[in-house]
Amino acid sequence: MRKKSLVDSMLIVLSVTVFFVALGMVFFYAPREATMGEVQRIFYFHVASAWVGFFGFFVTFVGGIGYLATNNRRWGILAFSSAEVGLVYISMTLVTGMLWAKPAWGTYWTWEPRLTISAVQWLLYVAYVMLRGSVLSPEREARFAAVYGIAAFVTVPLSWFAIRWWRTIHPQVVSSEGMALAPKMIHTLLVSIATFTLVYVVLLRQRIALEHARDRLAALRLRDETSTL
Amino acid sequence: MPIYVIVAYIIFCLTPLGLAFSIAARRRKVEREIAAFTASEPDC
Repeated sequence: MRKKSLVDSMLIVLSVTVFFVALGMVFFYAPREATMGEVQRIFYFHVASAWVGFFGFFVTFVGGIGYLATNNRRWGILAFSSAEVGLVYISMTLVTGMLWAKPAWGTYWTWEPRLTISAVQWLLYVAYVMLRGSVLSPEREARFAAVYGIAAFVTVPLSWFAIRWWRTIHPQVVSSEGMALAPKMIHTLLVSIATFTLVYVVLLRQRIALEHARDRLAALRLRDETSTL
Repeated sequence: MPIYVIVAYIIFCLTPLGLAFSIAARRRKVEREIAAFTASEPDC
């Protein structure tokens, strides 16, 4: 237990440190983009946040498969915890994307393929998080969440390929020819992605610990109820 | 620096922090309830 909290404390200190390093790189290391100017700086954390959101939903997908295959609640906890953290990151991606779109496109939102899929994805995972606590039996709840998490994951590859398959105004940074960015911009983007991934790991560990604490409380309540009967 | 960039980075900084505080608050509440349950149990 003590070892676990030491690891958590070290991860928190490390993630805060690299967060400030990434912020410094965004504002002082990465060059000013010629066409969009300063507003392009939103891109670094926006892409990192989208990556973590997608990764979070991938972990939910894997956790769902793990739960259905083994019936082990640990997989269910992993899946649900990751969905909640992933949803927060995707929400952040949507909001900051709109903040970038206004000066770049002249509008906060447009119903083009990537943005439409992102909106559907956001709604699907909001429903996942909201519905998970509403089914009465914990067993049915976990099974339902596992199937839902697997099905909802289809929005991640769809979102990734939307800018490749359909005509869209969303920029495509990574293509078959590599990244269309200056080296300093690539460094900043990679550090931002590493930072947000580390923050995701910290948040996921905390969220899993919360779910384990809830399980302990539920077990105590059950024991209390059965002993009073 | 355009206002959009400032607002975006405020969101980038505060959102993970907000989630961390929210998780910590929920965990503290559950652990208080666990402590209350454990304290009320008779010694066997």
